[in-house]
Amino acid sequence: MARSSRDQTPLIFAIFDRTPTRLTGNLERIVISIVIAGVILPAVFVVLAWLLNWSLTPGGPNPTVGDIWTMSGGLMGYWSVLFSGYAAYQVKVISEKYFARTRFPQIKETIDAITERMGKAADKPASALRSERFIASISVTLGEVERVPGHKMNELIKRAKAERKVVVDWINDETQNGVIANTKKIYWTLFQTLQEISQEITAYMKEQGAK
Amino acid sequence: MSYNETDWVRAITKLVELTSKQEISWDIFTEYEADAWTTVDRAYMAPLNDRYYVVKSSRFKKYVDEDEWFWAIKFEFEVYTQEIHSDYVKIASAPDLSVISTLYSVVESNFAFKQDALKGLLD
Repeated sequence: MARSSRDQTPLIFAIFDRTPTRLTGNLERIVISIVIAGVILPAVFVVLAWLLNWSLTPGGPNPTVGDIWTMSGGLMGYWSVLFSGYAAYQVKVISEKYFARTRFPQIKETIDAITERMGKAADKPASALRSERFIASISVTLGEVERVPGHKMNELIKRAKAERKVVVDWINDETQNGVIANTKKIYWTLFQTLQEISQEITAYMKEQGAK
Repeated sequence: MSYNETDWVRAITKLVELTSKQEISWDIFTEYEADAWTTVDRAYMAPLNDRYYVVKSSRFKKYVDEDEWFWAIKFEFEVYTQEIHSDYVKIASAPDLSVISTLYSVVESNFAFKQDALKGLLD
């Protein structure tokens, strides 16, 4: 998604054109452009002052050594605030990345275990599924995926949650006790959505591994 | 046009569903196209609409460096056709998807049930 928007990137973004990560996406570009803008702002200000004959030095048109020290010191301080802000942002990005790196393999394993269980339990009637543990772990696992920052799977998770609710309602419906799970379309839709999430996690891990 | 991963997931989900409903039946298959780098432990095949769906559990040597390796397991899903009186021809193989391992385990337990593996023990 982020890649398709690359064609209409403004120049300022294109200067530091780095491949947007799935994790940070466009946010990283915005942050970088803010930093660049912040760095060149004093230069613009100086040029403007020169053009409009503003006096930049407190001691009159001829700057003293003290003036130069004050101005360059101020400039350095200004830049260091900018760069330390950027560094703090990058630390956050890296820590999120490593969080995802450690969490996703476990979550994927859980999802695969759930779908395997679903596949094997599909020949059971609703009344027998009530005691299955995987039904309860679906929503927990979906919540775990949701809490990993930068996952870009909101649509899939929303779908899975809605489908899970329909399945659970069906399982708990007293009139449906004898209905076998594999005859229910929604059971397989949920199965498929969970597999898609698992697939999406694999793709994500591959992308992260390539970096 | 080509199939994307979601298509494969959908198709394999459908096979899991049909297997669970016992609308298709799987048998052991040996005429798969062999590959020198992988050892097939077990392959099952199910015919459906002139297509032969094959799910394999195979091992391959995964190298950690130039000469150290270990056996790693992968599950593969392939589609074959067959002209009359000729060999099976592979027409497609699925990308590496986790749903294939699910299919394999469902097929495996289904096959065991079909073969009456616990015959006489459950009386």
